[in-house]
Amino acid sequence: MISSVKSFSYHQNIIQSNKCFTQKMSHMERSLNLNDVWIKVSEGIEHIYKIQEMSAAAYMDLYSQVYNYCTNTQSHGYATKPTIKSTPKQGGNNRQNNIHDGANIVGGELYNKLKNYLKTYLEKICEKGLDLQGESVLRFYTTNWEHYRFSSKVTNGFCHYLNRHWVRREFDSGRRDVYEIFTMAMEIWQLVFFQPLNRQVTLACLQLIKSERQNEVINTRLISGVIESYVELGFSENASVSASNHPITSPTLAIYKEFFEMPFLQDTEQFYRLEAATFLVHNSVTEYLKKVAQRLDEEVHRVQSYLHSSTLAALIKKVEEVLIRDQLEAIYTEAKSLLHDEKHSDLALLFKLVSRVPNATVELKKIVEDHIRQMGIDAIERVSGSALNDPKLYVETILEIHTKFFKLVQEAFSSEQGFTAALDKACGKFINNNAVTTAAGNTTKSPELLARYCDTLLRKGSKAVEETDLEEKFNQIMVVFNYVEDKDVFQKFYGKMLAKRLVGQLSASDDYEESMISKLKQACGFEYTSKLQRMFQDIGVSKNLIDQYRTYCEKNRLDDIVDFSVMVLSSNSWPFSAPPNFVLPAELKRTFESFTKFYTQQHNGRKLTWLHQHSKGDIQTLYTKPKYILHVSTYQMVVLLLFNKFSRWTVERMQDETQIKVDLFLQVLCGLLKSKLITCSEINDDELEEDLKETDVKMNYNIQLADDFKSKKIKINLNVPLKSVEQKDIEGLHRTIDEDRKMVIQAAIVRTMKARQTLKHALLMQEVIQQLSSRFKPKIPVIKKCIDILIEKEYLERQSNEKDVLRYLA
Amino acid sequence: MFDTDKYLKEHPLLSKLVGENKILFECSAIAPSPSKDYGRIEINFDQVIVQWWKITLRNIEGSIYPSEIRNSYKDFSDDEIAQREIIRIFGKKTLDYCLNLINGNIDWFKYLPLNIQINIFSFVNINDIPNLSQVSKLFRSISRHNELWKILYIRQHGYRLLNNHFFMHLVQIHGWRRLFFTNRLKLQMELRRQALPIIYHQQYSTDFDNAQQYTKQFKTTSSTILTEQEEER
Amino acid sequence: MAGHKIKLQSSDGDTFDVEVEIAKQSATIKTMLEDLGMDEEEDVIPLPNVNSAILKKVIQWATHHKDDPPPPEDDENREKNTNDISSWDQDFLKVDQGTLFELILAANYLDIKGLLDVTCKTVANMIKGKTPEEIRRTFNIKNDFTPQEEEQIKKENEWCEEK
Repeated sequence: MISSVKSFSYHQNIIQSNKCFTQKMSHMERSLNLNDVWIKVSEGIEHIYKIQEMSAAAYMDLYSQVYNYCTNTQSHGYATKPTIKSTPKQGGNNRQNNIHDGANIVGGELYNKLKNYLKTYLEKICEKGLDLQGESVLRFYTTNWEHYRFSSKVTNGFCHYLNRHWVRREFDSGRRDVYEIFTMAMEIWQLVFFQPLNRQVTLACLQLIKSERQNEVINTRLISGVIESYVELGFSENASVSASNHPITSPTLAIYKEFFEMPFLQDTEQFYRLEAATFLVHNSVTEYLKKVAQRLDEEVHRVQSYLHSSTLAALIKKVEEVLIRDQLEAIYTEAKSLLHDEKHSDLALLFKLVSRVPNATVELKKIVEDHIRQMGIDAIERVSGSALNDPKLYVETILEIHTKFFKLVQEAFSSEQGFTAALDKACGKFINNNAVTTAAGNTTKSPELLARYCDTLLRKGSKAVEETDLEEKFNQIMVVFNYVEDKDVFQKFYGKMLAKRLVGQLSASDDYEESMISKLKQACGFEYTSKLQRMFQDIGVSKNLIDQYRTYCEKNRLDDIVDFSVMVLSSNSWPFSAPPNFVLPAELKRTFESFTKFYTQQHNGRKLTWLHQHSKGDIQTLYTKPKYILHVSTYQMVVLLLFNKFSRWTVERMQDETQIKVDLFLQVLCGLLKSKLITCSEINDDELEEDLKETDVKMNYNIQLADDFKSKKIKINLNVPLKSVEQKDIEGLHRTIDEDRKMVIQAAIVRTMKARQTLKHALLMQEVIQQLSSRFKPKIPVIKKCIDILIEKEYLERQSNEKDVLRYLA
Repeated sequence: MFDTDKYLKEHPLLSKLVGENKILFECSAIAPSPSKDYGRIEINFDQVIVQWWKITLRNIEGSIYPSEIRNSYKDFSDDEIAQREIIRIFGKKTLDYCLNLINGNIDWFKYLPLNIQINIFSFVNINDIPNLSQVSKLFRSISRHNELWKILYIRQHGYRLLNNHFFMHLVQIHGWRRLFFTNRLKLQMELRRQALPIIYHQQYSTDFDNAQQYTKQFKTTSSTILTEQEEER
Repeated sequence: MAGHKIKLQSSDGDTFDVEVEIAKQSATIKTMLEDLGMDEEEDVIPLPNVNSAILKKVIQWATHHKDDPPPPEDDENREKNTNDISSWDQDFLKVDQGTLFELILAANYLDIKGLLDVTCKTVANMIKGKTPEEIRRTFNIKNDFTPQEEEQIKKENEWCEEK
């Protein structure tokens, strides 16, 4: 019994030891396998890191080694797993186990061995570089980096299977300290190589860059190698697990930014601050700016050739700040003198550089604007003496300035919007306010002179101007016109002068007239030129009317009618008013009556007002030999025809007979006396020769026809415009402008208030000014006055609780 | 007879997986009671080795020494004694398995790397998986493998929730398989419960129709919650 | 580049001239060419884990599929349907089980996703719709559960299906 017990236990021993042996075997197998693999892999790594070269055969061999290792040892794992759980629903521990059920994936040991290998390898190399400085540390760093990077890439390649399975699995199950082999190699480099060396490496790079900035030739390859390394060292783990193909890390520029870009920008700032200061001591600002442009180009090139492209924006911004923004005062001063010296290309460069700095052109625009305005004011001041009465000189002076600075804006500022605006502002200012307008005492002088200039161009006899030239002139006039504030004044004067040209048949060409009107229409709209166009139409209509009237006369056998033509003008469009009444001579009466009859037949209800002050006629002296033909105004005709009744008149009787207003009558009489058609026994020739004034003619003087009148010409033009009429016209025009403006302002106020019902005083002002800006610049006191008028007329009222709020009364 | 050695030379990748000790099958067992005999089978590339020790309380001369039969595949298929011993100690199924092996029906599947096993399993239908888990311990462990269920989950439900931090937290706790079978509404409630202690104390509602909406609210705020937690840490 | 060829060498020493673009369906070869920056004409690339017969089949497959669109990046969109295997692939994969597994391993080793999937699908088709015993018979798998364990799993599965 005893022995059998013994033997039993003996057998058991055998069996147990046997089991132990097999277990040991599988462990040893496993570690043997790893060691075998590791021997090969480490030999391979050593080779690649040393020689920088690998044959396809060696590569595939290593890949296969890793593959075999990763696939081979895992298959036996499952057998040792604990058996089935008794119930599926159990505590947290069991759940955990369930998740990670099945065999584990092999690779961790190989991964760690690789990691340790690289660490030791790099530590050994790094020691040699610790004391190096300058280019030698760069050479050391970049050479090793390039080797290391290449080798790590290859190592990563033949560890593809490990990356794909073990690393991936570890990452997916939540580990965040394993990376693909290449990234891991970068991590090691960062720890072992970069950490201890980066200070001196970065410093050496900065020194090299400084040398290059000082025009030395450097080996940029040294820097670009460092930059590549810094860039590649930055990575961060991706947070989400999601798709299995997504990389587990993504590149960041963190290391590059912190360890290179930041110190580099600081260095750059220092370097250029110093350079700006020293350079400006010995050179002009223009020279300085040329240097700056060159520096900026260099820095762009620097980034492109050996830095990371993300640095470009920050670097250029820094250089701009130091070299341009911080020197703006000097640059502005230079801008003024360049403007003065008209150095357009230098200004262009200056502008190009200044516009790189945010908001810096604001001041430059102001400088340009002030300069143009001053130049304009000066130019006009120089000619102001004669320009007041010489529209051509005035307008051409303005145009010269405009052309000159338009070119400047084009050439130096690339017609940039802000500078075009500055030109416009400056022109607006000096055109509306200058020596001439000051002399005239009002700002409406500019539009008046401009309108007069138009008149000289459009009038018959301005032969100096070629046809094509004229179109160009019109365009130039429009340029000036656009700057004129009081466009309504221009309209008035232009209208008046157009009226004269049309009535007096003085226009050079209808085509020109129309062309100019269409330009104005383009600039200011239909309403602005509607009156002008109506005037134009009236003339055309009148021509037809006269033809019709002639046939009418023939039909009705009205052969005792004076040869007669007429223009019928609508009273709204024309700047004419009815003259005071006087007695029409019998010779003309029939003609006027017959035409009135004819016209009212055609247009029932229309009232004709005769504008005798603008009419004229021819009469013939039958009492002389030869018989002279006299061009005379209606007034002159009336006076002369008196002598068909009696050959002698007293002044008083003449006036009484004609009923022409005394002062006008005396003017007409004086004119005729001077022409020597009539004589006055109380006035001798000397007085006549000197300067006969109306006041010199007394009412009791006797007037008679000069029977012995002699003249070299057969046709004599006596119809010269009456001074007083002319003068009155202009005064009247200015007065009507003010009156018209009041009406326009009131209309604008009513329009606005009707739409808004209630509005604050100040806002109403704003609105009105804005509405009218295209026609004229309303003066604030005038607007206030208009508001008061409207309150008086009970269109508006002030709100009882708030005095500054107005209310519209329907 | 099947020549395993030759076959594996023609299939080097399989050969690598089978291993250098060239063992296709190894197994030891104690015969069903009352017998306490111990037996061991080993099948390598050209031999079948059967060893057995008769364990008896009586001291019979000779029987205490282990017996061993080393056969070629061919001899083994004719060796009735060895086959009988295998049936006695290991059972009929084991013998069938051994005979299959030596006829070239080698269970290659078990040698495959895990990622391939999982990949194959990922292509079967979900309702095949219970059957798979009954095949063997290996099949069972693969059919419960978290990695497999991750693939199945993504194929079934898409990536939609994978960026949700709380969902991934649930994955860590329960595993993909649990979440695969958790129905949508329950899952949303679970997610809501995770978020609730922080944001929606008062608004707790059992109304299922609202669950969807809560999930939406939860989603939009989840990133802020995350940062708060990180700060606490 | 279509004309460029490289030489692949099997474990038993046979060399195959293969167009680079075809060979690059293997991510392993692609990575290596990129890493080593090799002059493709000269070097022979040995594949110590793949023998001539299998390598020939792999090249045959890759040549047939050289114009296939690249497989989708995401698992989500990857075809899970196992019935979509083209008839060419079906014929191509009519091989004994060991060879099929060898092809799977070669695809895994060379990292050819398309081939790996189609071979794995073929194996999956051998499993689908079968009872545990049928599966065991198909792959000669030894039932290593004790009867108690078997009972246990059946129960568990029922529980699982209820869920």
